[in-house]
Amino acid sequence: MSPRRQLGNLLLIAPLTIFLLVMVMVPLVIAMLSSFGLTTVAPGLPGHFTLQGYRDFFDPSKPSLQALWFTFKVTLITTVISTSLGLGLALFMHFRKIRLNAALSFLVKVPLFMPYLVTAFVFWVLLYPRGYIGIIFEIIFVEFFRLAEEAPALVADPYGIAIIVCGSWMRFPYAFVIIHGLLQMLDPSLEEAARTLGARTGRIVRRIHLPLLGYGLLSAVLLNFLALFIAFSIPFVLGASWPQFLSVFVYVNAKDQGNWLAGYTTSVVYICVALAIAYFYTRALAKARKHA
Amino acid sequence: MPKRSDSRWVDWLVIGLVVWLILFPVVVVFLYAFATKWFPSHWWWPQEFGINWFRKILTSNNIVTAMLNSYLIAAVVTLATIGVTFPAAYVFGARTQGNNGSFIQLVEGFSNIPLAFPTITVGIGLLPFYAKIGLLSSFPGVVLAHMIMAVPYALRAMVSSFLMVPPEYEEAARNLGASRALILRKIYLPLVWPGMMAGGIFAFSWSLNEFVLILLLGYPNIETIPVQVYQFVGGYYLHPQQAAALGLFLLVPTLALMFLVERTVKSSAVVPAGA
Repeated sequence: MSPRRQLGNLLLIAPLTIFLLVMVMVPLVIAMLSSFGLTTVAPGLPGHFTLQGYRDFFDPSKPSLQALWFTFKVTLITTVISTSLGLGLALFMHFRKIRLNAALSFLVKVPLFMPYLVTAFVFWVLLYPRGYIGIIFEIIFVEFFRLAEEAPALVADPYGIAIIVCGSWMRFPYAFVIIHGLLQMLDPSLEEAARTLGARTGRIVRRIHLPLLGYGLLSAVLLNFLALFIAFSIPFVLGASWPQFLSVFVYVNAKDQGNWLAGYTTSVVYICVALAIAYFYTRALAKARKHA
Repeated sequence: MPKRSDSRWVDWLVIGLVVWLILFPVVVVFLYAFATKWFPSHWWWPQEFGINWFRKILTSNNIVTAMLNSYLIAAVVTLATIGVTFPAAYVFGARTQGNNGSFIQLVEGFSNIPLAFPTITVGIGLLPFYAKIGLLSSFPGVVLAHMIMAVPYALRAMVSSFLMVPPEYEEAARNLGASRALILRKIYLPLVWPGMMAGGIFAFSWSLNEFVLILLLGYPNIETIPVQVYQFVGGYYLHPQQAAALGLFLLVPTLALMFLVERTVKSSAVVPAGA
């Protein structure tokens, strides 16, 4: 490529580069330096090097590790549920040879395109004690089976039930779309050969489909995990006051309580974990493409 | 296969269940928005429908301002995002580019980074920076903040479109003496418009639904629909019916635009992350 053309390319990407430097790099550097106390951009930051923020974050008696653990737990459960639902539906449609027409294809993706805050709101009204699911839950467990004196809270609860239900609904279509696409690409003769040899459906899924889906399935799992791990709107609306999701914990520390050192430290840990997941996701995706 | 035709009802049952599972929460938003009488003793279905809640929200100055803010910010974010990403997508995606230098590859890789970031962490990093340069609670500040997440989505959609243009078109135009600006305008623009439209729609819908950055960097001077919806369900004044009516101003345009993307670009390359 000629030097003139190279210069032209650099000019063409200049607006994007400047934008990324100012709007992505600068806040990252501010968060990183502030987590070590090296800036005075916000109240409470000492302006000299300190590891106090990290000491506090990793102190088991402080709430930050609990928030991280809670976020991991809720995200993991949601990922397992959403991926299982997506996998189950994709396998069902594959074995029953149900074709995904244009209408059904769009319909399945509706949860992915729903505005996050509206989704959080709708699950709030479904799960609160006077909502559809809240009322049905009370009728079944309290009035019919008499398992408890009163129905446990399904929203703003300490177990993150509302976040799990809402997250599973939002993310199962993604797992379905990916797995359904991968199943279409599998060589049908493998399944036919196994059937001829007398293998049952369960064995075919275990021995043929799951190993061949491998990295594609893993990439769907990791993206679903990442999508919820970095979420804010859903845990902010549906979560309890404690334990908090990590994103809400950052917001409350920094904006509500003015504890900026904790806010920045948690942010840096949060970014590192999210980037590690993203790294494994891109690797899984690359391997899936290579095996395709 | 007789067994298959006999058990066709199982297929319908499962598909019906899935459709119900997906549509039920969407229907509930409409029910709450249009229900004007809904007694607790008849919890399963509203007793009267109407447009009272829409009348109520449309007579509130705060909410109307929030709506105008939402749509205006989203429109400006879309235009600015396309302006920044279109030339870069050409460099990253056009097959005539050959092997780009390591700096360009670095910028391309870095442009995807915000997709993996928790938005809140970018927001609290930007907060003191904005305060210092006077962008806090300002319209340009909010537009720039929304572009952080809009840019990677738009870029991915546009790069995919540039990749599909045969390199011979540009080479022929270059041999005839066309400048790069002319090539971009006359050759690429008509061919990559579906990707550009998809990217623009993603930018628009991202900005329309964005909540945390507005809460951190725009509120209280700039309020948008998501902030108002939150005030009705998470604030001091709980009102699910008004929240639902207002939520429809987010839900309907978003689903309509996504339907348009599905029709225009036959790809699920861009799937929103985060929640």
